Amino acid sequence: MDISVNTEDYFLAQSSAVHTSDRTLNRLNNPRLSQEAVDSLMENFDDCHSKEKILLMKEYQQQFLQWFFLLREGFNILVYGLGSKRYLIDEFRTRLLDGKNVIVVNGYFPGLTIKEIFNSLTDGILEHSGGFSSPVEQLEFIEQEFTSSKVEAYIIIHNMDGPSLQFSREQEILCRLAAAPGLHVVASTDHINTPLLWDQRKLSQAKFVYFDCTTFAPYSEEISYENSLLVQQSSTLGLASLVHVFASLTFNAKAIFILIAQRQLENNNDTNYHGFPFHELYSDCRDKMLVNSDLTLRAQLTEFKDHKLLRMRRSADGTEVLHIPLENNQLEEFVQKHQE
Amino acid sequence: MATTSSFSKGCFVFKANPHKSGRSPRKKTKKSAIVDTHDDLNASSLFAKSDKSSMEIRLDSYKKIWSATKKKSEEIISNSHKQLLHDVKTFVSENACTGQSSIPTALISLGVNLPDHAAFFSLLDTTLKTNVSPFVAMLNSKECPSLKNMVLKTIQKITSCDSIDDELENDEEDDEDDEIVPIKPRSKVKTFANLATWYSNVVMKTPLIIILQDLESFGTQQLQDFVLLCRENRVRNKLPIQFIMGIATTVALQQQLHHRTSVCLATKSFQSRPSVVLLNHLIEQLFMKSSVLKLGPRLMQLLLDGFLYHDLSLNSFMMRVHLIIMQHYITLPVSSLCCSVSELKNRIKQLRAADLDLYRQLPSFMKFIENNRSKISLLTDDKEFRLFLQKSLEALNTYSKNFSLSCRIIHSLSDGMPDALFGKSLREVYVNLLIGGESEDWEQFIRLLNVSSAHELRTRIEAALTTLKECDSSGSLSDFSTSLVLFSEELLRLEESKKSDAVTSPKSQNVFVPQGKKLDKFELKALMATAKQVRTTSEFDEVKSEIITWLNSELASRLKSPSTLVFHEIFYAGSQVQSNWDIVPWIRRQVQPVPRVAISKALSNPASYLGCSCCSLTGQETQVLSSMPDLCIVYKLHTECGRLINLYDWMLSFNAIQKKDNEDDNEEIEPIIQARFIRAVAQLQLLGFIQSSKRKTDHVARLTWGV
Repeated sequence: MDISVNTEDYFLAQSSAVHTSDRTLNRLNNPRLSQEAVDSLMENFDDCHSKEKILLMKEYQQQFLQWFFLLREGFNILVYGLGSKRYLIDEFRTRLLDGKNVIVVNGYFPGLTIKEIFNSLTDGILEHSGGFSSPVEQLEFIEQEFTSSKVEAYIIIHNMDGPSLQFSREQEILCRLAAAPGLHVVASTDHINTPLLWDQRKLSQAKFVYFDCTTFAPYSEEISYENSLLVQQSSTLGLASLVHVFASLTFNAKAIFILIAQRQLENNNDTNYHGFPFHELYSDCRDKMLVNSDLTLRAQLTEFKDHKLLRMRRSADGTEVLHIPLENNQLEEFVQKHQE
Repeated sequence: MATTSSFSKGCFVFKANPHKSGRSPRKKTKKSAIVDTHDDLNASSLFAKSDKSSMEIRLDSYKKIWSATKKKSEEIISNSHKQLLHDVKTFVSENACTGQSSIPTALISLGVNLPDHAAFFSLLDTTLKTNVSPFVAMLNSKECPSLKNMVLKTIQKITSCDSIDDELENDEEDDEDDEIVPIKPRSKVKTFANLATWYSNVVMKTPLIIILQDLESFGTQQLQDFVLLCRENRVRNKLPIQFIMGIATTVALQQQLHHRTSVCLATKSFQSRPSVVLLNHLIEQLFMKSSVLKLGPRLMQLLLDGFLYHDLSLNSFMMRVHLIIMQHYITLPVSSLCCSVSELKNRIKQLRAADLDLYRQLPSFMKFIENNRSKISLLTDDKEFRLFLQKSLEALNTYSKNFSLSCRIIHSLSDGMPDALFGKSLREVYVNLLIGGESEDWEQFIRLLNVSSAHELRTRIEAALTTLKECDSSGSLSDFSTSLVLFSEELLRLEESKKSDAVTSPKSQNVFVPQGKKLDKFELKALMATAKQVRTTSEFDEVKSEIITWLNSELASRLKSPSTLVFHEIFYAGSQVQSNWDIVPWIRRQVQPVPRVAISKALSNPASYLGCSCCSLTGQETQVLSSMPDLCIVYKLHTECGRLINLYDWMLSFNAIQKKDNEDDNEEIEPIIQARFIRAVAQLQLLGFIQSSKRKTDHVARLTWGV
């Protein structure tokens, strides 16, 4: 199939005014389903093409031996095509990479860092005990180890174009890793613009052999982290972590947090409310003898901020305001629970 | 195996045999031996997929052929850099002791094929280290994000050359426990001032060479500071610093080297050969000489397109050649005979009767039988077939060799002709003839030869003779050269006799009209006819027509593409074969990977992958069927929208498609439909077709355009 790209279409699409209706999702009985609700509904949903999908999967599994041979010959595998390829690659791992050094990287995991991959290689595979002064040094150590010594490892990257890997620097590093003779990479990509991430140099380092594995499998795992447009913002996690962190706080810190929360709930319906101004909070806290100086308050707030329980920003008039990034109903629930 | 999904981390480690991680070397070798046999088993079962009996032979042949090809290509590439390396080396050693304040700088223009430069620089590194100075610091922009890193890296690399020698001595003593990696002592030399003291203690006062591999990618300011710093040290601390800079395009010089920087440098520029020239060389050496496996016309075209229109990189060209060799031996069961001529006889003997049928199925053989009905017994008589197979393959080998030679001859014969007949370079001639269908060029070639002078003809023939002498060491085309020698002697004789003729009788025939006399039409015609006759009967024309007849009969028959011969499929990768043996589509996907097309195709026409009858399109590609997967339906609906999409309306249309026809038209949406829609939209977001938008409530932005 050819994709004929008509550049005119672009300007046509950009120039024309947007004509869409003003109807919103509030017309639905239940405008925002929660993630759990969607999951439980989909669990019972019976897919019509399951037989064909199994056939496709079987067909792709025929290629496993070839993948393995290519990896041994110094190539790396890149799997593309519609549908989640997690299951397929996992199957490859269990069938052919059993008993070998393997690192599985979930590129779709939002909190993933390149450092984590480095550490898995140095601590997990190479069992290196010393530390590194910089990531560059660590990378050089890894490259050297997997070039000179006989150690081999397979790196499986689900979604090489995931949210935390889709940057030039990260791709650069991944391609450098792929170029090391002792490291073999099996990666999958899904985003339509992924090839734009790679320039000539990266491609030549990565030595990818491409496989079209259109599985039509649902991306259930991959999208579970993403803030979906229609799903009620996944909140249970936030609330759970809040309760967790809160339990370990000192009495004064708890009281400060509750102060902010209450203020936020009071201004529930005020659209102009951006947050609790810092100086007001300070005076409130001092009145209640929770803190004795500006600095101690800031120290407390930093702790909240580190746990992502609090957001600090500047309002339009330049004052610092504090805001708890949680849905109001949850905050309410939390405050009630605490007061009990 | 354990699960690889977690809410708290994105990286999972599976260590090989954690219980056996003993440090004793004996255990280790045992373990790795087991692993190796296991891997070999996997490799052989891959080769067994297409044909079991020949798998070992094919696996072996693959390994042999690829390692030979690889070695040869590396040799060719390093040879082609020889001159440049020599020039740079001379420049560096010439400028070793000049006391001038500006830094001697070699600017090497290497072209845009950046991935290939690494090979050149590593050669340069070893050349300089062995011949000029051990103090070489090779930097690329990736390791030097800031000036500080750049200085540190430079100094570290220069001083490390010194410490390596010490380490080597130490290593010999404690060879036994080589598992413990010696922790590198942190160098105390960290600034240029330290470097100066360090250098004053060094015995060999050889220059300090700093190589910047990719000048373009360094920051301008950083580069300027670095150069100024180096000059400062060159002048004040008497450090004999020299630069070597690799550049891809000449524009870079003006952009990267500011006037303030360039005045500090005493530059001399060098130029590497264009990568196209290297490619021509590579193809001539790899596939026109006695290589076993050659590229068929389709693959050759594909690789050239990939090279010329896409990356100009020899690295990726060789990577593709590697894939082709691999695929050829994996996929084609008949590739077990793809070996050197000396091995052929033995291998044919080893073939089982069942294997012979594989060879009988080859399209070229079928065609041969169709044209030669008398040989039909080959289909049944195994003994005869074996003989025929051997004879044909040997003939094919000889033909291929002669074909390459003939290409060289025709190239030297047609060199410099207008319109670049057959192609400008030898590679083009070879590829054009390999692909076939150059009959027009041949006619034009003969026509041009017909009108050329004796002298020109002789130069062409002599050029062809020289080529023959150079390349035909085996003498397989000796009759060729004898004829060519004869022709050139004849022509020489003619030329000389003509010269002497010119002295004795300037006008042999009196066809000239006395001046002043007016001719009428008929007289003129008659005169021209005689003139023509005179010309055709001249001795030179006789020789010329002789040459042309000879060319037509001898050379033309050897320029037929080898891919027309019987059993060519075995030696020419990517020839037309049965569809399950055809490797061209697979290779094409590697040269031109199209991940996005695959996704679009799956979304707009899911039946092309699923192979189900329920979703097959009857009309246009935009057709929406309710049986299609949700994701496809949602995708197709979104292609009808503009920049922004109203989620509610989108959901309604999705609902409308999912609804059975007989249901009435209420807008109530069932929760399951809503959930399915939510899922599909989230997946579309993951694929990058849409993203959330704040411009209007409950709208998303579309990121693609058109259908």
